[in-house]
Amino acid sequence: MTCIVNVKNLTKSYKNQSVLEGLNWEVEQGDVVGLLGKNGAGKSTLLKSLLNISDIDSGVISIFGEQYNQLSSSSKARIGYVPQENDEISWLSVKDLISFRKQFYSTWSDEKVTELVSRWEIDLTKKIAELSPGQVQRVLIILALAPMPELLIFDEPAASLDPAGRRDFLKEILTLVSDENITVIFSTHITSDLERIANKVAILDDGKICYFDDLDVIKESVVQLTVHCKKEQNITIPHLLRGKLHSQGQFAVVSQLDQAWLTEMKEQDVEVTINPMGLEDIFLELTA
Amino acid sequence: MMNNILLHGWLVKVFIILLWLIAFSMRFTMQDDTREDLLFTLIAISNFLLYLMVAMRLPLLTHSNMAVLMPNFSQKLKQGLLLVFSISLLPTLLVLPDVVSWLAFISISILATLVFVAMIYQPIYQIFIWLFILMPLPMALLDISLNKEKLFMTLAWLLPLISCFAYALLNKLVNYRGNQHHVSKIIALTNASIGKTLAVQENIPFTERTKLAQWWANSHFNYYRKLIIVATNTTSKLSNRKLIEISCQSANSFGANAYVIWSVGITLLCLVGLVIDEEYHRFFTPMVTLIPAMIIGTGSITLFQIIQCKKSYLARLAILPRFKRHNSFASAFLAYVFSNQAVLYFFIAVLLGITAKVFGHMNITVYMNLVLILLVHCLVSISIMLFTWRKVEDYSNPVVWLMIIGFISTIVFTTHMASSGMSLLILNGLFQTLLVSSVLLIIFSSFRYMNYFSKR
Repeated sequence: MTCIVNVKNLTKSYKNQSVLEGLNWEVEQGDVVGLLGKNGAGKSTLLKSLLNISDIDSGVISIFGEQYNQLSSSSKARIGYVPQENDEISWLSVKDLISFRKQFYSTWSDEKVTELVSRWEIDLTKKIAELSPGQVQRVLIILALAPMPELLIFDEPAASLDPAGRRDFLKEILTLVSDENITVIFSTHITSDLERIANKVAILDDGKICYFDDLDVIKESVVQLTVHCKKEQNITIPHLLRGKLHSQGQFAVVSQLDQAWLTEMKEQDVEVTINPMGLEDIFLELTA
Repeated sequence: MMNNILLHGWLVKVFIILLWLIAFSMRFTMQDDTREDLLFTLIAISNFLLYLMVAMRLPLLTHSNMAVLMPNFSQKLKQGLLLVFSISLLPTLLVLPDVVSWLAFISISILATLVFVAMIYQPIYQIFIWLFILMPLPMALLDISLNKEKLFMTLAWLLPLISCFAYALLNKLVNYRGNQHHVSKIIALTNASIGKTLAVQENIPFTERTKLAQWWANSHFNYYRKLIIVATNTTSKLSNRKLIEISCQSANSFGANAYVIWSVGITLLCLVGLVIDEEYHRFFTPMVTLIPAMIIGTGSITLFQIIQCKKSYLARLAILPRFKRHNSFASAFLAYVFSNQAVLYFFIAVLLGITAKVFGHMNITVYMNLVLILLVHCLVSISIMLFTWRKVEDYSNPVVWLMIIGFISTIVFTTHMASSGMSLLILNGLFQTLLVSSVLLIIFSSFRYMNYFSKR
């Protein structure tokens, strides 16, 4: 697979407070990556750094094999970005903003714009300042999708959308990613959205990507275990994230399910029940 | 579309085109070279206004998140800027008399554009504006004489160098971040319409302001704090007018400290004027023309915007029991506005008189005419403010532009008046009609304002 985004030893700090510390990350073509992290973990900083919107202290970032701060125009045309905060010119009408953006892209799809504008009922004559946050978010999504990009980066895209808008947005992304060439990275707090469209999950904690794998793998690896011992014995659970002793036995959460250990437990007549966890619980356990 | 963003604002565009048209008509009707200075002033003001407008819009494009992501953005921005600049030079080509003046004007325009853009991105570069205003001072002190022809010839020859320098800076512009705090403020101001600029400034948290701005606001508020404390601790009550005055204060008000600072500045300037040789006085003309314009600008536009921002607060104040007497609020409010503006315009009239006496840049007739123009200007601007304040709809944007255009027109007319040796305006039938009309206008607007409150 072609590596679309490659980050090595990325470091970034604000006013002597470190946000990203030696972060390494590789995103491959066709990946739909959901980026999870606590508030202030540095998700937006990471996404902005990838796109050269925010300066970095040190590290190497490449996008489409080019250095992030020296992207060629053809590479830039392959990127779509929806920022968390709208910084579009507030006195421009939606129509004017669309025409402004259109002039930069040869791959601009008017059909896509028309389709989304009518589906999302956006008044083209209204000024950006007159739109609700949800409507602005929809306009920003249209602007990001219209150039038919190969790499889409969304910074909390659904935060201002109502449930119907979110569903529609996710549907649009699902249609897009059915084309294998499209790579999507999106940060979110809404894990249910992530579970619907992402095939990979990246968890940002302590300035690093502490977990990055397929969604299915993470769900199979991070599990809750209930351990019942028939006689009193000390059990060491590998990859333990959290554990509690109960009258019935031990309750534990592991970051990786060790098959060898499971076999060993079976041989020792220790009953181990595996309880799958939701992504939200997995995230909370991994970043606790 | 890029140029539409850079040139956003139809009122200012109309005004610039109007100034160009006036310059054209003057050029083609001018029989001799006597009014060439006025022509140069007209074209310089219109073009500088255009460059300032473009400079202020630039961060909206360069500091947008998408600026680094849009393909060929810097190239398109450069093309847009060069197109605007080239168009702005066309009237110059038609209006200015010879090639040297034209080339010199292009050099001046490029330098002005660089200064405007630089001060938008880094506030420290505002120093160039002050250097320009204060330039006569070192020139007079160091006994440097300025020959206009030589200066223009030098600027004309320097044009290739200045152009190369400007082009090199233009290439760096897209990636230039400047002072982020200052640029964010400019973006907030330009993203808001001009009528809302004060509201944007008022929203800046106190602790995020510069130390000087904090001291300025605090020293201004201290006077009013003392008034409230005295009224609370003694039996003497605040008058209705004083209460409204206190309610209409903001961190950006033009108050006593502003009068003190300007007075000290003008006194120092006049002292220099008295010390230096008379032949250098003419270099001070731009400075002594700009200062009153700046005072009127800050003094009256700020008052208008503060009251516009505080309309709902004043409406709540008007229903207090102390204002239960018919029209007591409206009359106290009008008294405050009239007294505030009367003090401002009187200060300017005195300032103009003193500077005219010291620098001799205008004779008694021009001074008397200028005072009369200021009187009309004062009456008309208060009338416009009153008409706007009583409206439910927000007309602050066109009103602020009208006021700015009014100031610039006054400066242009005054320059014309000084150079053409115009007789006393009070004897002019057209002006008499204008004066009477403005008096009637203010009576009518005051009556409408009173009527508006009595109906509530």
